Amino acid sequence: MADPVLQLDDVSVTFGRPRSLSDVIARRPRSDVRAVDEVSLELRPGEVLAVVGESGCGKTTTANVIMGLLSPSAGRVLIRGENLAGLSGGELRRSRRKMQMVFQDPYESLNPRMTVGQIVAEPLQVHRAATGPELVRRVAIALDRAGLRPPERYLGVRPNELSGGQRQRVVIASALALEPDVLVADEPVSMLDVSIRADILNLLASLARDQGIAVVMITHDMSTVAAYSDRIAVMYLGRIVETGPTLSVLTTPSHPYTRALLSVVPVPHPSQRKPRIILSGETPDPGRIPAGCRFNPRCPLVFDRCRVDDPRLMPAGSPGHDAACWLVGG
Amino acid sequence: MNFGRKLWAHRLGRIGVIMLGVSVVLAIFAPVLAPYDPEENIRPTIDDIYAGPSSEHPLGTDDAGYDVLSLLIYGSRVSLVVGFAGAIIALFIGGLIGLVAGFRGGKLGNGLMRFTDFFLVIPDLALQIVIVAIIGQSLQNIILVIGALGWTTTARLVRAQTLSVRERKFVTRARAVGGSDFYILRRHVFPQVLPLMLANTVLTVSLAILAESTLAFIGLGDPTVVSWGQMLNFAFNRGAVSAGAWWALITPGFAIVWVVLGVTLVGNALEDIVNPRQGRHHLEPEPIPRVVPLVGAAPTSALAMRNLVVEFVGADGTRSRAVDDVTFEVDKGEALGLVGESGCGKTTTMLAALRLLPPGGEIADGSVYLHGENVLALDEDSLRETRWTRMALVFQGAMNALNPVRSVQDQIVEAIRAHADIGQAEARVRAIELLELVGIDGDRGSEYPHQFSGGMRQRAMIALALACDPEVIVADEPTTALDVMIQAQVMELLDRLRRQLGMGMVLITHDLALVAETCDRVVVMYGGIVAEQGPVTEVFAAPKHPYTKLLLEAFPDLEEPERPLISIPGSPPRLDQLPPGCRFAPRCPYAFDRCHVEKPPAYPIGDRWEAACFLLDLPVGAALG
Repeated sequence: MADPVLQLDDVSVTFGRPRSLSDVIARRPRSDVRAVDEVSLELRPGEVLAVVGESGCGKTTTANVIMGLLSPSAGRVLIRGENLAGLSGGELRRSRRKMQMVFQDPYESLNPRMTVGQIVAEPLQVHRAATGPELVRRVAIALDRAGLRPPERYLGVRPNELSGGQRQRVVIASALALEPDVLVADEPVSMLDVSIRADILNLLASLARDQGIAVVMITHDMSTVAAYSDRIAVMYLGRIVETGPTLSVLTTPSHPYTRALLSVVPVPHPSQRKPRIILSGETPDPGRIPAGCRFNPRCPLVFDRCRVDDPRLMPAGSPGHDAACWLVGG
Repeated sequence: MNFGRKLWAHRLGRIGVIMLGVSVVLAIFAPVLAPYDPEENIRPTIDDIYAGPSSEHPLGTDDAGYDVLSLLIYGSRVSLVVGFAGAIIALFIGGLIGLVAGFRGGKLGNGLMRFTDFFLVIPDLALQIVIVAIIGQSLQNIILVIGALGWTTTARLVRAQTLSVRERKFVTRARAVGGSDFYILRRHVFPQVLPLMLANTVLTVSLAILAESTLAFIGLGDPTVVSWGQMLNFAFNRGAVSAGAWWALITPGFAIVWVVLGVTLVGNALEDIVNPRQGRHHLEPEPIPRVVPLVGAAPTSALAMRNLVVEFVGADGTRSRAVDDVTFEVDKGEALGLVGESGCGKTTTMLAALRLLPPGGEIADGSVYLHGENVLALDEDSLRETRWTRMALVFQGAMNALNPVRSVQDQIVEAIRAHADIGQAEARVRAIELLELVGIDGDRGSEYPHQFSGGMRQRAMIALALACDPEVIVADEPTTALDVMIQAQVMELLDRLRRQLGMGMVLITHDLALVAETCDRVVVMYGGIVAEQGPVTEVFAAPKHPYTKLLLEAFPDLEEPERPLISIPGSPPRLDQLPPGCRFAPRCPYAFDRCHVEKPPAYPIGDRWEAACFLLDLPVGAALG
């Protein structure tokens, strides 16, 4: 297998919460929020990894760490085996070029006053990667790879003249301009109509398959990524609670949280309405993580040990499929 | 230039441009146009002082025998120079402070804004008088003082705009791409703020002109140049009133008004262009819909739409059909799913049912019956009564529709008491009951919306919708912004309440799976028409309209995780460019000649199941496989 292009080793991100006046008066210590807690991930060229979870589970923070927009409070981020912590400013910027992001909202994430050509050229200009005819050539290649063909037709067009799907392709083209190794796509289709989601997902999948780009898809929707990801990592309260090959996780989910999450995804078959495991309440405040297993207060299968011992990822059946649950480890 | 053309097309803007243009021409060509040179030393005789208008002096003369018309023409130079130069200084200072304060925020931003507030509260005129008196009455000093004191509104405006631009996603994207602060400011923020800045500056020009006139009028103008304020000053102080020389008083006043009005008109027009408002003013009364006489018996269902047509009237009077000939019914206790891509008319249809269309929207034809009563025939009072008591709405992103400064319980009490004649205490008991019904602890009712999570706020909105025991509840994408688990909680709640209370429910969504799980019947809309409607089980198992079929194929399904999704090529038609035949024909892989020229009627398929597709008119066996 190829070496991982990106590796997170026990990465944690802690945010200091501002102390309120009453906290200061009562001399309560600063309560820190652990948004991401000892997360380890490996990403190989051409692989599509889906990071799934509800809001507040730390998936966006993880994406920001991968993108270098946030630096981890603990743990290591390795790009092609190289520790980012040891890099100087210039080297850091160069390695960042290899990580690009696709945003959720193609209606908002394109500057309405810029043309498609200018938008796609922007990353190349900011990083001074190309100028003149070389710039034009690389913009055209990026547009072509994002499926906007022929590229010349799109260069002078402004975003408001394009459909939602085309706009998302422009976002992708702009991310491809620097020829990245890793694309982080944050809910890439949630703002698009169902009828065109497949186009964008197929495009991302083909970029991974044909060009060897590693893709991280951040989403809360299991059904959308099912056919398009190789591996899934389910996050809950800053931790990965289950990870493994997509099919294995979808067909034999091991963690009760994954099972609940899968059971509430609606399926378009009115004749087979299935029993759903609806968890009561909402994801707890990441500032107050429960003792023991962090899922225990909402877990339908909780037992004594879960309230005391914090389970780590352990093998759950098929190779590469791990879950952090005492029911799995036995 | 596009901007200029838009300005010219704006009626008041054009008048302003002409008024300002006249002044500018006069100022530039003053030596040519003015009949006399005001710099010239003259020896006036007594007859020349305050001489009335004559062929020699069309606007008479002033106290020193100078020609008023010439003074007026030369005076425009000072006014315009001071106005524009002062405004440019103000634009520079205000723009810089606003941009930095808005973009950087934090301590620096706050500090800059306190500084701005300080300048905003000190009386400009008093300070101007003091400063000019100290540093001397030269034109240059006057410009500097006016500019240095006139930037506050610009700064506040630019800061507000910068703040909102900074939060936009494309700025985040530029940051993720690796752009520096300066780059983002220059490339993304500044171009967005600039038009507003320019529009505001034009208004600053008129303020600067007024400020100069005021200073000159009270005798603090530059004594070496002619200005309108100074003309007024001389006229007042040197006996124009007692001499009855109205021309020396009125003409400079008129000139000031002329220029200021012209500049203001241009400024307002620019603002209109930069921030366009809706075509029809929202305070205009809603057009009264035409009542279509009832044919046959009144519908007995909870909600019945009959041949509803909704049109939007553009600013130029063009009409576009957003909803065309929509007919469907919802029975008591029945859940109906209204699905389709965005812009297909789902929400518009339901807003029309409550006569809540946005400005420009009109019900052009058809009827809406709530329990046999035509909603379109109701007067304003009974309509208001109907709106919450018989049919209630849960909006998309409704959790943001709660009033942030009132407790959740108070808002429900208010809704109950607006429609039912019951006391405060009784209404409060009912409000707590409703909160418990939607799974919120009654004790938390006295809390404010921000203390609730997104899911709880959405439940509170459902409680609010239930406040008056509606017969039909319309839920417009009630779970779109929510997490899957919360989505399941909210949908289960809606489903339970519907069964418990026997309400009809219309679920507007793009999520076919959600419809499959909660609804009895489905209406599939495309481009403003009903493509197919029928029982959910039958329609999902064997869709008859190609659009329904393709939509189902494009929809992900966890039961078949490996099935790749197929998208529908193309996009829905624009309302102003509807195809002549079937609206789906341009995207339909099954379309044949007839589809492109003729509109398909709804063909019945089974019990309350119909589809508008010519394939159903073909011999048996030729339809969708």
